[in-house]
Order: sequence, then structure tokens, then C-alpha cells
Amino acid sequence: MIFYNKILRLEVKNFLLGKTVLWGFLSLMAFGLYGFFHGYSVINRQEQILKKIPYVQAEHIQTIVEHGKGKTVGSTAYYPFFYTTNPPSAWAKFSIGQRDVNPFNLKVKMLGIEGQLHDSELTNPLTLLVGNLDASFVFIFLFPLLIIAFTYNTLSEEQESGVWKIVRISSSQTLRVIGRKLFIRLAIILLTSLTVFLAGILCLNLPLSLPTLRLGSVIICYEIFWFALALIVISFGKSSSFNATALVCLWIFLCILFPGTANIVIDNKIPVPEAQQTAIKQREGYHEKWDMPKKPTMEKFYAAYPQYRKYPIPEDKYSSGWYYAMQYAGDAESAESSDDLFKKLEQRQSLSESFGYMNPVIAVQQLVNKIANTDLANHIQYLQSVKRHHKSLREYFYPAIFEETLTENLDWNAYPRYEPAGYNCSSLTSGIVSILLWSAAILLVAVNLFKRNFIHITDKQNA
Amino acid sequence: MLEAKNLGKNYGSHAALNNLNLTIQPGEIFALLGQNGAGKTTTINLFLGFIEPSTGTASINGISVADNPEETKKHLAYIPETVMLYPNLTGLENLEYFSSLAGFDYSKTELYNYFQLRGFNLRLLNKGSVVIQKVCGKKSALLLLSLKRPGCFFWTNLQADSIQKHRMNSRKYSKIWLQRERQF
Repeated sequence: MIFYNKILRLEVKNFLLGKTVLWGFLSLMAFGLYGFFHGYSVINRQEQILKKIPYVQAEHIQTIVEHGKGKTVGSTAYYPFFYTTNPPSAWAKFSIGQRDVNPFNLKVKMLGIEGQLHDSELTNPLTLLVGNLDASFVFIFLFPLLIIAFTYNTLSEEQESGVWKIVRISSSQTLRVIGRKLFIRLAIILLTSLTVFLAGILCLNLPLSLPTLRLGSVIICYEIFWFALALIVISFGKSSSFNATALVCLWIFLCILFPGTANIVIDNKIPVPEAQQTAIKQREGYHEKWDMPKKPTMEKFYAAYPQYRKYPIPEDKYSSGWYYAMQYAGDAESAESSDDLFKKLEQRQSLSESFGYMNPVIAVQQLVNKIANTDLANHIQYLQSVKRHHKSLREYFYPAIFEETLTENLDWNAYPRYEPAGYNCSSLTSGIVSILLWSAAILLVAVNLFKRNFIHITDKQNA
Repeated sequence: MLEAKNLGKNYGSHAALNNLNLTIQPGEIFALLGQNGAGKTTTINLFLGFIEPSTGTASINGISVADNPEETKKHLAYIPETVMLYPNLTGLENLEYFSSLAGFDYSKTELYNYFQLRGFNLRLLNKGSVVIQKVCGKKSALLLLSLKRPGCFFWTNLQADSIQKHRMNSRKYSKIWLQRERQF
């Protein structure tokens, strides 16, 4: 064992004293620190805004109630905004995901919800392309480059300089020699990523709990995948320049071309015109009611809320009850296309997950965003919770509206408060398993290629 | 004992080596002389197991190289034309590394003594390997590989008197010596 350690020690020393290692480590650390800073500043800005919301909300309601004195609740309830928030999880700083594109707070009025929900850009909700330069970017896109730099010339450099001849003649266990060299590189890659990850935990103040552990494990699986990929390339026994070129091409394909193409496929296969369509339907559904008899509108409302049938709605003049029933009817008429929209967003999510099974770069992005609660699924959840919240708000005000209560006689502080959904992480198993399966399959092929190209004698070697 | 039976190597239609029959007994020294392209390196590469023969067999101590490349390596040492060592290790560390690879556990002192006994400039051992490579690459490799106590030595373009100097003329070894031009 001591004997084995001697070779290992010298092998480590020879590798560590090479120029690539120090520069690779330093640049990764520098990018890492910038990534932490970027993630921190984006999420911190959101948190600062979210912090102000309760004060803004209280002040806003107070002003509206002041102005509404002497008028009915039905008239006053038209004005106030009710804020909802989607606060970032503790891990969002690590992986911003789609939090920079999707709204993290929405203010809704008592009016029809559908027109208010999709105020933001939803035409390209699955940004599979390279996102922010945050910590996850460093791990997902830059670490593979470090792995490539550490491994591409593991054996080819020695063959090119001539040391390999002496190594081959000295040892009768060539496979073990190769294994040792690769093991050292893997260990140093994992140590580097552990160092950057620990620095991330400290800089971003990540809680020492299960999700952090999950982030770490997902990243390690992903790095093993890239290491396996590097192995299969060097196992062909080609020159250093061939290996470097091949690996960089693979990087470009997996990190840029494949996700880009997948994004186009998703956009074409599942277009989402429903966001606009829903908004238009809701508006049309509501606007045309002004010129229509009030009875059919009210019937739509009574179907869901029969308890308000007892309040008289005059057919020939404006009444608050009718106005809000009209808003409700607009929502009800666009309900189908709204459901379609959510269904399609979910289809997009699952289609991109199946792309993830084909490409671990996509899989790991999804896993990390899932852990950080910054993915599309989280946004869909948020939108749905806003819808539910809107419903409970309406239901809080309906009695006062139909009773024609005066503004000052209603407790304006007792309206239902929006409760953020909190941290929720669905299963990661399928994503992790797909990455591991890829790695295992690639490793298996690589080991056989090593045996063929480095152990059995062939004309390619040193001839 | 080295043996070549009908040994041949073709690269496409070009025959690099054609029908070589050769037996070298322990203690014998055999020099391969010839111009570029005569097949010297091909012959050695076939014995070392770096390439596969097109015809015939090369065997070392009766073991076919093509069939057991890992096994035959245990019995041979090879000094290439330019000796390259690991650049980030010192001379001594290189010696430690390669002797360990060959399966011997020599301490630093043992290695020092071994090299001193053979008239090696010990100060060189603690310098970077690049210095050793330049100053006395072949000599160091020769000493290094003889630590392995191989049965057969292969070397290229070595000064004739080196054999005497490095006590390599023991009766135990078969040696193949590859020389581009006469130096005797």
C-alpha cells in the first residue's frame, strides 16, 4: 500500500505542478466569485422590493378607503391593488433560473383576473439557452471546460513527449497506470468544485440543509458525466490537438447547439398563443356584457354563487353587483383557454424534461432550477396561487358589494392576505438517474476503448 | 533469449520488415546496423510490443510478444533515442516513479547508492528532470531501467563504450543494439 502511495504521490505532484492546474483553478474561482456576486445582487434586489410591499400595500389601501368614504364598497373596491409575491428560495441566489424573466410579484385588482395574470412576457417561457452568469452557470458551463483542460492531454501529451514509451515498458499493468492518472485528475476536479461550492455556501449564505446537499450531489453527478465524456475522447488514443478539438466541439454541441435547437422545437411544437387569447377573450367577454341584457350575465354568476340571487339587480341601470358579476363572467368565458395555457405550459415543461433525458446539460439545469425553485414549474404554481388568491379576495368583498355597505363600515384590513407557497421541490430522481446512466454507459465504452487502443498492441501506438 | 521467427511487418503494400529470423542468446550482444528505413526500429518495436507483426512471431524467453504484451514487458528494458522523463519531477523522483512502476520499492538512499556506485553525478538527481535529460538522458535511463533487472536490453544510438562503462556486459542479458551508423 505504501508502495502504491509512492507512485500516487509522485503522479499527483507531476500533475499539480503543471501550468493548467493553477490557472484553471484560479480562473474558475474568479468566475465563481463573480457568479456568486451576480446571483446575490439579482436576488437581493428582488428581496429589497418584496420587503417594501407590505408598507406600500397598507398605505395604498388606506388612501383608497379615505377617498371612498361615503360611497359604497362596490364603488371603492374597484380601485385597490392587492399585492402577491413569489419570494425567492434561499437557493435562488445560486441559480437564478427564470426569476429574472418571470414576474416575482403581481398586483391584482378585484376585476377579471385573466387580463392581469399575463401582463408579463410569456412568449418564450422556457429559456433553455444560456442564462445569467450565476453560480449554476459556472458549474454547468464553465466547469466542463476545466474538466476538458485537465484531461484532454492526460495520455497524449506523454505519448507526444516520449515518456509514454518508458512508462509502457516499465509497467506491465498499463491499464492501472492509466486508471491512476485519470483518478488523480478526477479527484482534483472534484476537489476544485467542492472548494468553489463551499465558497458559494459561505458567500451566498446557503442553509446547511437537504437542498444544499442535493445541489452538491447533482453537480458532482454532472461533473462525473463530463469526466466520462472526456475519457471516451481520450480513449481513442489520438493526439492532444484532436482531443482538445473534439471535446470543445462536444461542449459547443451539448451546451449551446442542442439546447438552442431544443428551444426552437419546443416553441414550434407547443406554441402558447393562449396567453394573449385568454386576455382577449376575457376582455371581450366582459366588454360585450355592457350592451347585453343583465339577466344572462347574472345567471352565469349565480351558477357559481347562488347565495346572491336574493339581491335585486335593476335591469335598466348600473349596479355594483352586476358590474362585478360581469367581470366574473369574463373570466368564466376565458376559463377554457386559460386552462389550455396552463396545460401547454406543463406540456412544455415535460417536453423539455424529455430533452433533458437526452442531454445531461439540460437535465442538470432543470435539476438545479428545481432545487432552487426558480423554474417554470415554480412560476406556474405561483400564477395558480394568484388565481386562487384572487378568488378568495372576490369572495371577501362580494357580500359587502351586494349589501351595498358603505366603505367606512367594512373592515378593510381583514381581507385575506396572500400567503406565498413556500419551498417545494418535486422529485429529482429521474433527472439524476438519466445523468448517471449516460455516465455509466459512456464509461463502459471508454474502458473498452482504452483496452483496445492502449493495452492491446495496435499500429497506432508509438509505431 | 530473444527470438524472431519469419518476422515481418507491412504498412499497406510497403514491407518495413521482411522475414527476419534471429536468435539472441543470454550474454550475446547484437547490433542492428542500417540506413534509415532499413527496419531497425520496426524490429525493436515488434519486440517491445508497440506494434503487431504482419507475419511470424517475436518472442522473449519463449513468450510471444504479440500474445502477451504485458507479460513480456517484465523481461525487457528499452532506451529510446531521446529519453524523456516527467518534467515536473526531479531526477530522483523520476527514478522513484519508474522503479516503482516496474514493481520495485527502492528507498531514496538505495537509489542514491545505486547511482553513486555507477559513477553518476548525484547533484543532477535533485535537479529538474529537464537537466538530466539534456546532460545524461540515456545514461540515467539505462541505470534506471537496469534497476528492473530485465533479461533483455534494447537501446538506440548508444556510445559503444557505454556498455563497458555501465557494467551492462553481464552474461545474463541478451541485448539488441540499434545503431544508425558505425561507431566501432
